[in-house]
Amino acid sequence: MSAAGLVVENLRVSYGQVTAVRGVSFSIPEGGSLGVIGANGAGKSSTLKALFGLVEARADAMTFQGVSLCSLPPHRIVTLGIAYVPEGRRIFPGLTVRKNLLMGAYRRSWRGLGEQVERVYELFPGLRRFDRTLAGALSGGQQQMLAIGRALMSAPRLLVLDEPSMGLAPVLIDDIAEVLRRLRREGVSMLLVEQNARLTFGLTDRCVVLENGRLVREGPSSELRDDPGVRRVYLGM
Amino acid sequence: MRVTRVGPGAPLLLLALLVLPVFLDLYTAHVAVLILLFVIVAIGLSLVMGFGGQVNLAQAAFFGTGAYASAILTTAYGWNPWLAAPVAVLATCLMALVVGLPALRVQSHYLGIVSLGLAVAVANLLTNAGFTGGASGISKIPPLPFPGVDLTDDYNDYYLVLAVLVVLVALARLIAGTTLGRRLKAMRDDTVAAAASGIEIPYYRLLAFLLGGLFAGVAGVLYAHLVRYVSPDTFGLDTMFLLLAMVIIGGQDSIWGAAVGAALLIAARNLLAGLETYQQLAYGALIVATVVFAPRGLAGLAAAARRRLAWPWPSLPIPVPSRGSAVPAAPDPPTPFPTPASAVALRVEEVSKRFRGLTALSQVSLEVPVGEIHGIIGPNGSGKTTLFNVISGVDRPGGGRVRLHGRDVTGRRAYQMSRLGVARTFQNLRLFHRLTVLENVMVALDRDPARAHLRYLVAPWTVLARERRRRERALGLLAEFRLEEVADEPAASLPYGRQRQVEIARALAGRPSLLLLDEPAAGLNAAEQEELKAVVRRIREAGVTVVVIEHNMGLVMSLCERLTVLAHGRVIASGTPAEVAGDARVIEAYLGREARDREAARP
Repeated sequence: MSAAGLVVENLRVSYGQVTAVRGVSFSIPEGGSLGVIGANGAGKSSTLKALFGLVEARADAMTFQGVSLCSLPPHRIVTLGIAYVPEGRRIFPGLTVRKNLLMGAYRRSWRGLGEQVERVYELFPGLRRFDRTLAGALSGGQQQMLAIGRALMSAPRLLVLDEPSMGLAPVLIDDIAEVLRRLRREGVSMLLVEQNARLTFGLTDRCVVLENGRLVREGPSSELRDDPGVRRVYLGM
Repeated sequence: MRVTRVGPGAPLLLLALLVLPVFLDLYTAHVAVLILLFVIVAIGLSLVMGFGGQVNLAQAAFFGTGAYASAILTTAYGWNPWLAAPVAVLATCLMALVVGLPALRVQSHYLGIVSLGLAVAVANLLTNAGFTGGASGISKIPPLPFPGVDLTDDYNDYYLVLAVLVVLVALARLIAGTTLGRRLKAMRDDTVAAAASGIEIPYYRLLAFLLGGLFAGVAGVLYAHLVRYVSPDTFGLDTMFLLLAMVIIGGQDSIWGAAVGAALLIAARNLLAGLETYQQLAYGALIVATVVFAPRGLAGLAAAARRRLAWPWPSLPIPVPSRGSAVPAAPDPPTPFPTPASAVALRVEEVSKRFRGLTALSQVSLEVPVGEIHGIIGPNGSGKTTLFNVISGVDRPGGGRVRLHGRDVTGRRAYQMSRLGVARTFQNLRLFHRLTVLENVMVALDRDPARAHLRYLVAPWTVLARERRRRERALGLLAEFRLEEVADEPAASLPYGRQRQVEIARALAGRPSLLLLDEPAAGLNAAEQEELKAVVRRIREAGVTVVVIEHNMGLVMSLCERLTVLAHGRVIASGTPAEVAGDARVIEAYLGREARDREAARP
């Protein structure tokens, strides 16, 4: 396996005495994609936060394009070309939509930012008319679009999404799926945590299933989708 | 914080404080009296700021008001100190209410600036007015007359202040560990959710200031008659800064923390006298260090140490008298809802709402019969959450009517709606994040009217008895949601989906007749959604009408009996799930391609 993409080996996260992730390993090759599914409290969000240095974590290895992410602060990780869409949106409510987007490109050269904003508006046409609206006044779903748009502003090589479909109308989930597919075609790698398992399977090459902080299944998305156990728990059929 | 159990710490500390004067010379005994007085003032500040979240920079001015009021009444008007004392405390409380009035309009740093301004005004008045003795202050204040005890003696003073302190610490601890403290902390953590849980925000903001004033007033009166000399510089901004330092270093929402912080700083100030030049600098450095290295203060460090060591301190239950101690106490009576006069639980009539030119709702009408599970769907930004805000009193409608069981409740405030039986959850989660899971539920479970807080003064033991019953009921409710294991965890530490469950449990704790759920399935997987469905059906079986906003169409179709579809703030369709799902406008605006394709694929 090439070391070019994301490699995580034996990742462990604990909060005080509570262990959230107990030795999880996975990798995403350059341009590849991985979906993570699992129940609430399985350790999905903790895994993503650990990747970004947002929680204290230990791992045997955690590298992106050969650079170790361990002990790098979050703002440095962003400059490596990884962008993160946090769970629950976490937009800046007191800034306008445009300024929220610009914040996503904070570590980039300012040249060409206008075009980048345009590109996000093209992907999410619903955001354009709120350009100068305070983001706190947007509806929940619009904030979710904004959070994804903000992540795209740093022109990432790897996009890490925590529940991007949360709070979105079905018609918008279609749109976002389309956006994400388009990015995949452009060669962006993707790490996707999502409760909407159908969406996850449709968007990723491979998937892992987490349970109580451990990786219990791994395989091509198409295979997992047809697995009776996975179908029952995560697809509800 | 549990007050129904007491460890050996408090009695041992009390014993130590009782024998302490044996080891003190005259000067250190005087310092000890000052320390105890400042502990009282700091605890007051901790209640306003740490618990109530009200930035109060006038606490030193309250302290001065109590001291000066009693000093003036006894020297200029010749009142008996025992008569002047309660009047002075009352005057301080009034002053605190006046300073608290701006809190009804502004919060956080704005409130800090306003209260600081008032504090400066008081300091100026004390320095310049004739009746306060100007810069030289008032001297020859009579001591408190006490038959057989000479209260000009610092050793005797010490025991008087200690006695008052014990009573006030007990009161503060009782407040901190029960209803009142929990409501203050809930208000601090999330005003909107607190109001939606039935807490009258304006009243509790003023009450927080009142508590600060009460503690400062008592300490001020004692100061005047024990030190027997008051001057403006004792109650100026230096003192305010010192008080802030005490509370921040001690730990903002800990009574013990504030007490220890006060003791440390006053001891340092008086025992290191002569180093004034560097004093302020040292306090500043200490505060910065605390905020950086121990943001929750000494109390936070102590809690962390205790967790790490799993301190095996024995603790004894305080016997709480209850009516017939063997008989389990009767549960609180259920909230008396007006018996549903009509079969319609909720009727929304042509409600409109605009935000600065943006129309969020336009002539929205809907009707939900008692016992129905009603779904509201619609594209993002179509006004669904705004509709919930209007129904639950968070926003006032621009036009139209909202009726609850036939009763016009248009424009009622959130806490009133909560008390009328409307409970809700929030799309972006609004838990009281620094409260534990159990406390979150207990806040909502507690339907005591605000006047019930008189119990704290009149019959404190009944507070504990009620608290215990409430705790049992809250634990029972958590067990239904299988949350009892995390009951004592801070709410913010749970995974997202579990937090949503806590929110639903909290909403149910108020025994609502109408429950509004805003995207309850967000962040839940298919199996968890099945559980949610079962929970919602059980809630309905219990006679609660449920209105749910949800994007998960599988869930909506199988759970809801009728749907209302919003788009651009208008109702575009309503009916059974099957009717709505077949509506062309709904497919176009909301369901999208997949549904369209499915529809097209049908024979």
